[in-house]
Amino acid sequence: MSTVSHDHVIGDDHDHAHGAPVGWRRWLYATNHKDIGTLYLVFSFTMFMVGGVMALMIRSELFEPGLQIVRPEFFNQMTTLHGLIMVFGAIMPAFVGFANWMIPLQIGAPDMAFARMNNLSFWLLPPAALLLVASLFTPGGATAAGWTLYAPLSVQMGPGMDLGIFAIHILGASSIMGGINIVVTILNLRAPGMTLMKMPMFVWTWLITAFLLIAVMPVLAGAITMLLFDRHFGTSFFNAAGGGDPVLYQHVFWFFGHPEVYIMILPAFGIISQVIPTFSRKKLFGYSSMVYATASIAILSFMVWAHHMFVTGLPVAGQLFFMYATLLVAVPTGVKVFNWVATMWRGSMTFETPMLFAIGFLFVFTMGGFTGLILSIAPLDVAMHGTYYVVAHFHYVLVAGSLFALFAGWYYWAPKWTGFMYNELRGKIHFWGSLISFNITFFPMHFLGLAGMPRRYADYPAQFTDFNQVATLGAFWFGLMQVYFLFWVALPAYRGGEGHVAAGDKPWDGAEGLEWTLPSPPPFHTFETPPVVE
Amino acid sequence: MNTVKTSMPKPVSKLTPQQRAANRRVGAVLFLIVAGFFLATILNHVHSG
Repeated sequence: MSTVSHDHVIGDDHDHAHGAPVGWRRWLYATNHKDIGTLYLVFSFTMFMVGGVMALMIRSELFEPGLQIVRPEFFNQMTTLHGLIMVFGAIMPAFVGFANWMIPLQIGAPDMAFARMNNLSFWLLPPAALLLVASLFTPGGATAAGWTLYAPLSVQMGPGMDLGIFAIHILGASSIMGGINIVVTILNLRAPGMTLMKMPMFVWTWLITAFLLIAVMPVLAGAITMLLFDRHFGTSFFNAAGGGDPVLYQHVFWFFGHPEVYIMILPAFGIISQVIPTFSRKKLFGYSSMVYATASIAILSFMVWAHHMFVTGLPVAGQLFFMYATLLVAVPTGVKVFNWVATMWRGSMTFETPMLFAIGFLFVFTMGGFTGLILSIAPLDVAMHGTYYVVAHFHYVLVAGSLFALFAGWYYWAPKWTGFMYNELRGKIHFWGSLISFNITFFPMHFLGLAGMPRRYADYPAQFTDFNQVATLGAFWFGLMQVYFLFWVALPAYRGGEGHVAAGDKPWDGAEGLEWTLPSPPPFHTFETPPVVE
Repeated sequence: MNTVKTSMPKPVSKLTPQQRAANRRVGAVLFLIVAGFFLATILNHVHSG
């Protein structure tokens, strides 16, 4: 007869030296925040590559007018999956990976508050990603309704849409658990003496982001649940023939969707707020105003959703409200940009790769912010809605914003994670190559959009050819730079060895924070006895 | 007698039972908020006829 007993040797070994577990069990059963952070980062980069390949298929088809490579239906599946994978599979998990690695280290906590839930949060992601990709092989292919899954198109599509809905439900559940974990960790597990207003900015931005996640992910879940019921269970939430309203879907989706945009950019602000003071060798200018600006952006994000819907026939009073509310977002965002510039002002600046990505972020994200202001003007948006101008705008904030900040964060903290300095020359090549190719790809899209080229079409009139060819060449260059980052920068840094010097506890002389009091790489378990913050 | 060990390692943590209870309380409140928002989103738009 078998009996089940708990292994007390494993359970009670807190007071012994802890090495990392080995083999696949280390990763499948991971409860250590550093291991789970690494899992998130590996997963997100993998999805970044998958979404990137889809982007290159889109750009290849658009290299010339007419249809060359893919059918229009498949093109639409590519635009949809590219958006969903980059938003839910790449950018968001990458920031959660940073949160897992850095929040406990920055607040002096031994781990995340709910270590096993953390494991579940991560391991929900790969099946969801597989569902999304597998939906390509269902009859009719994957969902092709755009990443926003607008009704009524999304009500009518084939079974690929159901797999997409299921995948988004799973991804949402993962995000909700991740958000709850982060809030509880930050509120309950800070080291003695670390008051809220002493927390590093990355932790602050993640606390606010986690509240946004908790508030809006259930709204997305509600929207796609209603969609599922309309598809299979005879309801008519979004079906006009049954008394429903397709525009209702847009309202509910964007009530989630706009805070979602800030979920993807606020942690980026946090990373930039860590990097710029370090390489300016000054304290962050206006710390408390940074905290209040972040909170203001988060609150305003709930009041601006209908600026995505100016062409749906909103009453003029509604258009004015959402236009002015959106313009208001520029105020706290401007405070942040001002503070970053003021931090650099008269600082002893050096330009290592993290700082280059941070300054690149400042320039290029600000351009994306300005085009956002232009799109928030209702009469202008009526002309530019659904054009490549919008595509240019959100790639300036999501690639040059979120992605560049992620790279800044990787170059900044990777020496701590790996114990080795990355190759600085290669880092600089990665930065300049990415910055230039990014602008070659996306700047011409402003002109295409202003000239009236609509997004989500596999074909276009011949007069748009030149700018499209430039964009496609830039996109391939940008993609190559990310392959370069993986094989020539990141993997060698993780392997260490020849040409990589040991990082030391604090590789950046201007850096401040608890994470730099630990060895590089930090031991498997850290801060089991909380440090005291003066 | 065969012994089957649970293979998932127990999270290593120095948290006291009081800290764990406090974590669970805050976590439970946040889960309730999530459930409330989810139901509110759907129920707000349920009409008959």
